[in-house]
Amino acid sequence: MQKELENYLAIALKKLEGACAEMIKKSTYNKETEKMKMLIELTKEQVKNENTRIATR
Amino acid sequence: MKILVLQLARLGDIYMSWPALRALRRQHPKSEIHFLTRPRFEGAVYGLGAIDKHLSLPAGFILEPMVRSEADTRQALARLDGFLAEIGKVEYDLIVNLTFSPFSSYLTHYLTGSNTKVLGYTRHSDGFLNLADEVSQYFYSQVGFDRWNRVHVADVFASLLGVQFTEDDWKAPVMALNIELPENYLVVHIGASENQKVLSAEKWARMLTYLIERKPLVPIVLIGAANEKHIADNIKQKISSKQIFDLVGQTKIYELFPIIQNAIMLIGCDSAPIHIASLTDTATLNISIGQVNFWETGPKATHGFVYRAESAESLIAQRVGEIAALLLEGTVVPELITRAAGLTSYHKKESAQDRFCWDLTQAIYLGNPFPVSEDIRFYEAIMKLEDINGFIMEQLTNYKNNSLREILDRADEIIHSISQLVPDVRPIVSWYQAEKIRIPPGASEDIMASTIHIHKTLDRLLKVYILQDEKVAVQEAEHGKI
Repeated sequence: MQKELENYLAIALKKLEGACAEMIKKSTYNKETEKMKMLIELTKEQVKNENTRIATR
Repeated sequence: MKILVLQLARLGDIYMSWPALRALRRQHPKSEIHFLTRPRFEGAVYGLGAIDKHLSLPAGFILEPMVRSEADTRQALARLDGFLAEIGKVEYDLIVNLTFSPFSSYLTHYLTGSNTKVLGYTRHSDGFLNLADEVSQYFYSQVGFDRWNRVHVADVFASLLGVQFTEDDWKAPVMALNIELPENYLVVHIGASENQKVLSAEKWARMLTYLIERKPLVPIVLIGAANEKHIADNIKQKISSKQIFDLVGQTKIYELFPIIQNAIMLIGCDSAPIHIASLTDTATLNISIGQVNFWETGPKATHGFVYRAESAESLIAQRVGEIAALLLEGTVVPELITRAAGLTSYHKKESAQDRFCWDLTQAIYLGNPFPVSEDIRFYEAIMKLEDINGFIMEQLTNYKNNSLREILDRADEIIHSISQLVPDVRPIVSWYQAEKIRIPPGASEDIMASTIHIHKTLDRLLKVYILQDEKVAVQEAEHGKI
């Protein structure tokens, strides 16, 4: 079950990163892209079991 | 004054932040301090009187729409928006980011107003990581399991705030012990925050069997989370003893305070109870396994001891039992790492070469003497770095060269590769890489000036060893060695 949830997150993460990259291409970094970046990083931390030490860099 | 402190890491990190929050309260007695954590770990805030308001990051709620076969990122973003709108209602005068993570850096930047002072990771206006203060630069470049920092995380937090801890910063909250326990018991935490840090039930059983045989009058109280109950059950199947009292899965995290405070010693792996024991000042034997930098996250109790094992498999359980029994008898075996006062919290018997990277880090950041390496590859790597750095500085004189960016990127790749091949140069290379990240967005001339300054400083750092090498070469030539 945990693996399945992680898979969903991983797939969603890939889509988000793609969408964010497109957004940054079309316009400069702004509050909206910052929110998307936040969601991306929050997702990555969840996949790493909320171990922010691994996600530090 | 309104202050927001972010600690979005786990239970142990929250407890390690307690002294910093108390020091912050002392520094700003009339301020309103808000503390943001994850709801899953909010138990670790219970009893912390230094804050005015506890805020929660609803990570699970925000991410829930993404954990579906058809992820709904729009809904996730809308939920994140809701959280940001709520927390963004307050204009903070100071934001202290104790999390040092990418997510927290974006959040910090998002919440930063025109008059907000920031300590810790944040972002530049172009979205790149902003290591605005020296402590953030140090954390980025030198802190972590695979790095050589030896300053305890709690002390790094103090440096970030510019405070000196007092005894009161380390006190446990006053809580009554509501469970009936025997006197003079040992408390054993059988779990850990990650699987790779934990011991198997079999290893615990072997250790405890030895301990029970050696110290038959010492009751043993097992503690742990509900999802660690199976380990406790397994242990009890292997050891049938009236000496064992099982509280695994029966306590909330903050209820461990009086349990640990009243114990004669805590034995545990790298996890929250170790940090609770730091606050209760309970003697602690920390079994530090695998990918853990004990220098950063070990016990801060006055009588704190660390037993290092590269892996759970390599750990000899009976030996740990023996060591624990000897500690109870007042004997400290040589293989234990012991508490110390000073910049580093522990004393470990090691060679100068073992300590080299830490000594080099201190030289770079604190102006301590540069250590001498016994490894010729270090000096060869330094000379290679000096060559590349010299080449980069030549290129920088012609910054209108269209290929400059490509050339610099390639040179940085080579610098990075050298540090991977010769780990002893990593403190210098990590310092350099962090300094490059610190350059803010701006006019080309300003960026160029900052870049040149970094390379000149790197040149001075490298020349410490180049000149040494030349001196050694001259001395060896005079003595007929070459």
